[in-house]
Amino acid sequence: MIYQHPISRPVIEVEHLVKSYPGVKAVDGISFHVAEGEIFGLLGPNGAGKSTTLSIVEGVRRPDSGTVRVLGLDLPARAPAVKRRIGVQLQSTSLLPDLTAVEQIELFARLYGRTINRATALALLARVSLDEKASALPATLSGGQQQRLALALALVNDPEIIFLDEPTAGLDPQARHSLWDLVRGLCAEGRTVVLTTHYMEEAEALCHRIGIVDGGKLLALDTPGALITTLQGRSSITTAAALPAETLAALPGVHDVQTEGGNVRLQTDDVPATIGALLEVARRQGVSLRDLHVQQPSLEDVFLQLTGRSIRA
Amino acid sequence: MNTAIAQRPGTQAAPSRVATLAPTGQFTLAVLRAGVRNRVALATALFTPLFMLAIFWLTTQGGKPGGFNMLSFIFPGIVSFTVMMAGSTQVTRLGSWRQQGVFGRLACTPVPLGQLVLAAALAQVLLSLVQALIVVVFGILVVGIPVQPLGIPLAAGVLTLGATCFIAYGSLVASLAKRIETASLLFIFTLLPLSMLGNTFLPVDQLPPIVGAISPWLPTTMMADLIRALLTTGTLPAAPLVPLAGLLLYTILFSALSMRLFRWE
Repeated sequence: MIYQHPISRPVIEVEHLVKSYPGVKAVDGISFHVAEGEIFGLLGPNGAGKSTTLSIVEGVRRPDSGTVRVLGLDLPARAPAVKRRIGVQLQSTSLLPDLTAVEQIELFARLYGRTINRATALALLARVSLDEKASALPATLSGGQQQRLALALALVNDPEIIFLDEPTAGLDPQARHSLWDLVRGLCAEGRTVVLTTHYMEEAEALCHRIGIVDGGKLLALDTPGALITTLQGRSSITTAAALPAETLAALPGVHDVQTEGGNVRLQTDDVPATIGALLEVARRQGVSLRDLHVQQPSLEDVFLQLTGRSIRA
Repeated sequence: MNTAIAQRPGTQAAPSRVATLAPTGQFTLAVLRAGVRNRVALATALFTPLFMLAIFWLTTQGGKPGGFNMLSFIFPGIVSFTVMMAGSTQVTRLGSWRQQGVFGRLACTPVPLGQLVLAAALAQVLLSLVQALIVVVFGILVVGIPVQPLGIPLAAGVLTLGATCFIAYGSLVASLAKRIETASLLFIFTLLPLSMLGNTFLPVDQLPPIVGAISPWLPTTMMADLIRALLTTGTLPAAPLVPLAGLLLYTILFSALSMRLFRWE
């Protein structure tokens, strides 16, 4: 794996970023660094401030305060130079309506000051599995195909950093996994990828590090594993068993018991000890344990702990 | 930069001069190509003036010899109206690009967004000039309207200025209304009275005196009077600087206001 954080040099340095719109502080003091070759994710619900943060780092919007350096260049002063070296896929596919897929590739390459021949444009479309749609207008493409074309447009200038804003929003699972493979391929080439998402599984599956954003603030920043490790005391064991709640609450490691119908849910900070004791109690009392499940904490739980609500709320 | 992200075969960095100048030209060509491909919009923009001309031709036949020739009066008005409608296309383009996020994507490129908007406007000017030329040729060859050939080159210049003026007006309307439908209606709602009061379809001297006081200051009057003189006499009207400077001032005013008010998202 190319990602070597924290040894790799930072290609994005954001310090105390603030951006307000009338009546709302969209970004409220966010700071983070992104290392070269890293897949970095900003995770948060709609309206959290992810896209605004990204658009400032892309040199499209100006911050009210704070500093941003991308590839060693200060923004917004060096925005044109930065834009030449980055690729951007927006949340909306943002395609010109009356140009074919291959024409869009050729046009955008020229907007980045590059000449691109037809064969190369087709090869780029083939990379996103759209070579058979080279002559198609955007309106005739499916949502997933439009997203892939938008990704191809983000690659026309061989960018060192690629920004993907909600790249899989609205896609079916197959198209989503296909796009994940593309992102991993880009990272394997040594490119840095920064993406926003409100899908927990996407952040967990793709990103080397995740920044959790809500209300314009960066609430946590670490690898998915490290974020989840902070919630080790939140593993849960569920089973269908007729055991008294006070008996379950006395099991080692258990700090919370919830019962609903015939099911019990034990919150524990020591899964092996709790399971062992639970099996012993059930054997002694002649009670069978049905549908026994152990659930590790997830990013969803991390988000819940940080914000007090679900990301889908 | 990591060697693993070296340029792919077939792409190369262009010289900096090309990077700053050529992209806008490429964008103009792309918008022209897209404009020609959008056949419904193209046909509507072309057939509307042709249809108007045909209607006036059919309904004004049999007039008294030596009397007021309505068709000769209205023909330059229809040619002017053809390029005025370029503003309507501008309204639709700006509105749809804003709704579809095209401006947001273009803003991510190194080319300043204002340059790309100007490049798109240039494409629209070229398209509307071709449409006006088709209307002129149709008028001469099919309807038999006498046109002074010597006036056509200057008329093309005035039409270019007029198209730019009404594209700027379309940009202003698109800046004021957030929805495409509202902006399109607002443009038509204002252009029709401007045309009716602006010596385009109706002789202003046959309208109430108050209209005669307002009419010379309207951009529609300025363009229609210039085009009428050029197509019928082959020369500019008396005191041509007033309408020419007026059109230029309106263009600057509309452009400045739209640049100040337009929001691309």
